[in-house]
Amino acid sequence: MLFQPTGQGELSSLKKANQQQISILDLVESDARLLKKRVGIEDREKIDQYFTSIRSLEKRLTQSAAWLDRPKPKVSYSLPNEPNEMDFVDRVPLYYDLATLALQTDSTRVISLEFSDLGPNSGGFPVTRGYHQLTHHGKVDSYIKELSIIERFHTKQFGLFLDKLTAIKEPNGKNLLDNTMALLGSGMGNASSHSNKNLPLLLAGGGFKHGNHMRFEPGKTPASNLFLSMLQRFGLDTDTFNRSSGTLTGLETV
Amino acid sequence: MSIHSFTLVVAVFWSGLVTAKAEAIPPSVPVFIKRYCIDCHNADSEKGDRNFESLITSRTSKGHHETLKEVLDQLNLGEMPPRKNSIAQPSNNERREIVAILSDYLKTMEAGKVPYATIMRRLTRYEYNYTMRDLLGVDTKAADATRFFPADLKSHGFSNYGPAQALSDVQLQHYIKAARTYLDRALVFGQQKPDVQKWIFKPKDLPHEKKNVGTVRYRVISADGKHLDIGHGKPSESGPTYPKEFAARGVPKDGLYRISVKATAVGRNHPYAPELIPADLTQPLQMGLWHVPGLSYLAKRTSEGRVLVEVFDLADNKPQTYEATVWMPAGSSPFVHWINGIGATKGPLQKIIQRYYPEAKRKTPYEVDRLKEAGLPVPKDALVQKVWISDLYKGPRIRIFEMSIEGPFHDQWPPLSHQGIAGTETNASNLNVEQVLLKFASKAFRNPVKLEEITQYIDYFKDQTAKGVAADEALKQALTAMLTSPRFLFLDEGGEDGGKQLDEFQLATRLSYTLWCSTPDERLLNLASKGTLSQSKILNSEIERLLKDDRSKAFIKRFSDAWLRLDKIGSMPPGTKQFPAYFSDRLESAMKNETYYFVSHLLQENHPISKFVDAPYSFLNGALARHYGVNGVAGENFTKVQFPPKARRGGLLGHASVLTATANGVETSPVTRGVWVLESLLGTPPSPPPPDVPPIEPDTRGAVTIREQLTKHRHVAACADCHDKIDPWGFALEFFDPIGGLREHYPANKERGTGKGRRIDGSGKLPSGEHVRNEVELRELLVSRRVQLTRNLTCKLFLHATGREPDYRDYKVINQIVEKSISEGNGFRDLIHMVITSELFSRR
Repeated sequence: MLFQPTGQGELSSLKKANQQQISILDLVESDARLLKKRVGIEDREKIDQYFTSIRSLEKRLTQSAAWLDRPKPKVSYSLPNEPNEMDFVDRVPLYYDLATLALQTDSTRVISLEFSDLGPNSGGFPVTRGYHQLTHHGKVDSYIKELSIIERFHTKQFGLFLDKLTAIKEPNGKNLLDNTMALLGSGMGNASSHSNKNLPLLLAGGGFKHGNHMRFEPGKTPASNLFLSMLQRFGLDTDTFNRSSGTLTGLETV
Repeated sequence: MSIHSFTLVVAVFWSGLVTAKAEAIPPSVPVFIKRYCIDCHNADSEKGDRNFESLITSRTSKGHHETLKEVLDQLNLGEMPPRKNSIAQPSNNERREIVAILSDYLKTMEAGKVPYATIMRRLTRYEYNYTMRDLLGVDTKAADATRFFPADLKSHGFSNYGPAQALSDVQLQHYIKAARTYLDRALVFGQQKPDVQKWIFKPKDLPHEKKNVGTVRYRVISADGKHLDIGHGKPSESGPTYPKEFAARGVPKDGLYRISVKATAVGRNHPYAPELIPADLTQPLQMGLWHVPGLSYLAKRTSEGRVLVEVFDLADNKPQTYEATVWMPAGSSPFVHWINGIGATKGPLQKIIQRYYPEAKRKTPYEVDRLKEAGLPVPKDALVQKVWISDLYKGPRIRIFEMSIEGPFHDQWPPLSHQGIAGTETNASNLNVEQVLLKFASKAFRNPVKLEEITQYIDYFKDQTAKGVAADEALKQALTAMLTSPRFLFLDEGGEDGGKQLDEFQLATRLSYTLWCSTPDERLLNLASKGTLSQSKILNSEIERLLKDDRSKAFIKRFSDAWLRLDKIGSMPPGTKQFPAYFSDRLESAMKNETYYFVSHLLQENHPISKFVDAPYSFLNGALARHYGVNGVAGENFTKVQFPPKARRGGLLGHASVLTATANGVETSPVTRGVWVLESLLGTPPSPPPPDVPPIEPDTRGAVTIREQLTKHRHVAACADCHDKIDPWGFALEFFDPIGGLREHYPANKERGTGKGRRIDGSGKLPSGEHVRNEVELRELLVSRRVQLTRNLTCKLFLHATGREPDYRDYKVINQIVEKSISEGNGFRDLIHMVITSELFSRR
């Protein structure tokens, strides 16, 4: 629960479970060392992955122990009754509301939101076909028309989300969008041909210089370059991500 | 397609380990390449995106290693040079010679470089669950503790392939939690044997109404309260019928419960026009029985976590008791539903009222208002319902008389799951914990463990109890840790040297994970400790024992999923309007079951490998038979159905599962199906498309067929090289729609899948020069390639069994197995024996 205070009983059992998990990690570590001695060179990579997982889990558990003691932020927002019963078009704005609140209260620094299926009642859209079916539009006009309804909706909701972030002032004098990188995109450049090239990606905020459509020579600039730029901006000390060949040329900060 | 924002993507890569030494290529290699390959694979034409020019001039294999391996593969398969008149062919001797030289050369190059051994594997999600079931003796189907595990990464469908597997802190944490959940299920410290109770529910205890006017749901109780009629229903239903008060708390304890429902079907022969009842009434009415771990799972729009126990074919007008015994966790509650029903009742009932019972029609307030507005007289009782459709309706319904739950049944206390770990002692303070932990570790780690190897666990237990933690809690903690240890989670096949013989325990483990996808049982571990498992007579009889055991169903399912890519089914579901039966008849699970039954049958009866592609029979239930247009099969159970000679079905190519897995739910693609034939049946996957070639973009305006689009595609030479090899296999399967239904025409209305569009043309010319016109001819052709089929199946079995992709260093043994198999009748069961008793199986 993001905003509901955790009860004392639950809190102490969460802490206990946390502690237990940490001691389990201590226990299994010696088995991992034993195994590492016995196995072949290439297998050691697997064991190293296991060790790495132990380390990061320990770190995460320690971090969340600190989180547990942090009081939940108080917000004056309440969800409508039975939000799960609502149509997709009415539910999507709620996700963005929650995302805004979570960022505003610093309850998290990373949010990923994925929308796929529309659910019953065509999601409340005036469309007659399923989303997946529409993406295989085969250039048929009526399909493209319906698909556009859905995709315009998503773009508009994202725009409204950016407006919300802009309206929130941050302690450093900037607004919340200045301090947040918001990326909208799709895993398909053209779902009809199932192509994952030339992805539609829209980046806002984060103190980058915006306001232009950046084009790149086909096949030369992996999308990962953008992700690498974002990771670095986020403060990660890394110079590669997936198939990146560098940071994104032309993407500059203000 | 989906929209992401703020996406952080985590990807894991496996980098190759090949760093070949730069040593001189034997001179005969460039000579051969110059003579037979270079005309096409030169800098100008680069057929198939391959250019061998630098190979000829180069003195060392530096940078050419992978290319040489490819050349060797192609020569081995006889795919290259292509058999065309204009292209010179090496003689058989030349071919054999160059294959030998290349193999030797590559082998020397790679000696000590590329691991010629299985990379250590982690238990896959499904292996983990089967292992927990067998190791702890718990049920893992209900409230599956692995539900939130990250998906296993796969290599060509196989998730037990070590190099492709990844581990993360998230996964590790899930391991801790899942182990604890299952241990809590297995152990009953401090608990008494719970009393058996019986709860009986009458119709009034179920959701009901006394009258119905034709609403979305129809659950009408009879005037005497003796039965409840359910008139609505479909497979995924938001209006389940369950004991209302009981479900708030559910069953009090974990355990086995007997659920009984006295029910019958009524109204299958109804007096109405057939088109008014949107259900297939040639099939018996079916009652689905589920259970859910809590009331929240009964809410609208929930389906995850519901466990379908059984689907009963109801007898008509004959009340009978249908029952099932099932393990349920505490808090669970059962529900029933008319699973092959007419969906929502409102539409059909309103039509029936209009046509047959106008007196049951009452004016709505809206209609009354309209009358008033128009100044027309409004009868005084306009809004009073005088006649109820529920008093007149004779349509199909399932009729429930009584429902009961009895349990929990324990034939022993403590239950076997507890005894397996702690014996009959239920007070943890009385246990000899050292012995308990030692025994458990030996079972969990699948080999005899010495006390000094588990001191940390014992010390932990002592330390915790000294701090005042209860003994049972401390013990569960220590056991949870063992089940999180890499010695449990990884299949340790030990040792530094590749190609080393597995020891007896490792062999037992590999054997049981091959045929059960689960941990070795006591008998296997006993044989291992005696050191006799590897004796061929004992090994063969153990293979038989394991195959006869029910646990081998896991092999059938998981191997078929990976080999035939059935795992893809469900990831791209078809349109609900185009293929309503896919959902209403639960075809998705039916089609997978057909294939499992079929593969299992070929295994049980040791049929020749060619039967996989050409068998005059299959296994169908009512829904699937209807999908196939086969008469005479009804109901939920699968039966063997014989097809007439030259039938369109018969063999895997006619299985709806395969045809669905190779389509995208909306349209078929000969390319995808062609690739499937090459990869899953023939074991000659085409090379991936060269970069920068755009995929086919379907243009379905007008009636442009996929064939015409592909023809355009093939005009580009770079595409033609591969597509000439791929597409013809797929064209022959175009007579099957995206969910495997037969068709002669493309639909005119793509959206609804109705109408006659263009006639289907299934003809194509294979690279070998043979012509096929449809799937029947394709089948015949594949049968004639039984060496290739057998070889591919052998390789896939090895991959499943060893988690290692066989390469040229294994080809000698594999070829021997293929030859032996073919000379000895080519039986599937025999082939499994040959694979497991071969030196490749018992080597690391």
